[in-house]
Amino acid sequence: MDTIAKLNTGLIITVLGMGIVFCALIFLSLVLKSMEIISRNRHARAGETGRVNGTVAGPRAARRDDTELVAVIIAGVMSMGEEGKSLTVRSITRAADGAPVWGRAGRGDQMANRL
Amino acid sequence: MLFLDLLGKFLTSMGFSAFTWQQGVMIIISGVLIYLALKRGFEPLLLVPIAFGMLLANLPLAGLMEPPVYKAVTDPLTGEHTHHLREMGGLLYYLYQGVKLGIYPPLIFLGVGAMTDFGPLIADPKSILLGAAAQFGIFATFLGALLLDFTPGLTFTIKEAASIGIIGGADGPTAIYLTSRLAPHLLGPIAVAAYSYMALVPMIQPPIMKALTTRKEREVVMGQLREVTRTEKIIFPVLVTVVVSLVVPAAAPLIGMLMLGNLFREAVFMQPVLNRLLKTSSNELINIVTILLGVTVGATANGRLFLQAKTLSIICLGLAAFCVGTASGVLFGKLMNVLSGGKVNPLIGSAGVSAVPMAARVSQAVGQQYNPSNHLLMHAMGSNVAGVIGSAIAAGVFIAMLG
Repeated sequence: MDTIAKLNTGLIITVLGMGIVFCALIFLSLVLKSMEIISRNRHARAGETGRVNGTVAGPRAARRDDTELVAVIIAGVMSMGEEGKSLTVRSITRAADGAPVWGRAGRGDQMANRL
Repeated sequence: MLFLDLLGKFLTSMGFSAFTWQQGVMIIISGVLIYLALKRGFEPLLLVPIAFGMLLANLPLAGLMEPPVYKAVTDPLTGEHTHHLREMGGLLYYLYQGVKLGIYPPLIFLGVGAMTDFGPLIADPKSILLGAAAQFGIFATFLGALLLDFTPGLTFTIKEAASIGIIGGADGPTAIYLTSRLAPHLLGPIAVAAYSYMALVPMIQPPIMKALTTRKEREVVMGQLREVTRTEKIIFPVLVTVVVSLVVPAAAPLIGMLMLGNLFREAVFMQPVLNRLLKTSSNELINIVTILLGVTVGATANGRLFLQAKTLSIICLGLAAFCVGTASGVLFGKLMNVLSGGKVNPLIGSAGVSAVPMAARVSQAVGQQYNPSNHLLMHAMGSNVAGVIGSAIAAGVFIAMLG
């Protein structure tokens, strides 16, 4: 194949190739966007259903979550050498997390690796 | 006399008797690469086996890359022609079949997928476009290699030019996969160029990023990424495999294995037993394949093929590929910045080259130079991992059109 014919073929492959790469990835991004919308709608509907049923179930569910949370926190405190002592949890307040973003990301990574 | 015969036979079997100057130069080059890998930290994971493979292949008379020798015989009774094995091939010849048959690069991608978090990409799908834009480096270098036809002695065929262009994807397994299909005789220089430049990303990219952006653009703070659900992270690999493989079936081996590894990673919370497969694919398997791939790819660099003017032009074109890829990603980032009303920091465009996670870290580091409270890492990771998918698609396009 002579030089001009090669360059011609190369240009056509370049235009087609970039076009295909862009089209494939644009299509993929649209699919991901629609997945986000579907996921958001499902959560919104689940939230509404929870609220509609919630006058009886809601507080009971919240109490169940708190009980589990309290049990986990007490277990954590006990594992720090407080066995044998009697503990009463009076309140649980979320502390401000001053860790940098990378620190939080690293912590999340370590927790995920343990699961 | 018997003593002299045996001594003479032994002396002629020694490597010294068949040592050529090309082999000497290649052994020195492999020594330099080992130095760069060990002392300077140039991608040692791949460059050490590549450099040592280069050394092994250029040992005279060792025959590590020699193919088996068959003797054609004709059956005197039936007249049927058959082949009998006269001499076994070398060790690296048989191990190289994994490269030749396109097995090792997809297995490396299996491990890469198992170690990659696609969450930032799922959270911000428009960062995929930056991964697409950076692949222009591949096609620009492809054209550049063809333009070298005007230089005497530096003529590349279209397939060779495509193999050189894929260096711009900054993706070692993809470069090796494509080159083994289109131009296997160029595997040595292309692999050395690809992995050397990947190690130089922190040096190559920042000047280009600073030259193409204003201070105001570099200081843009991007919003927090939304939380991605586990269901989305499980659906993502299946979706990408189907979509990309339908568009470019030739990319299916690479994308399929990348996404299988990612599925192991994301599904392990649902089925903890998958942790065994996750651990194997991201540790033992990828390590074994890395050794075999590196050594055999390095072993293709024999002196006769490597020491040509074409090799130097491949090294130069490889650098151009990285530079153009970085520039096109940053320029597209600027366009997205304008279209989004200043919400996109163009620096994350440079992470569209697939050198994961190095390119994303470079975007973070350069961004923090101008705004210490700016955390671009997760945004840059989105375009970084999109670049992996983009370069696999580009390789699939080349295989579909030229294979």
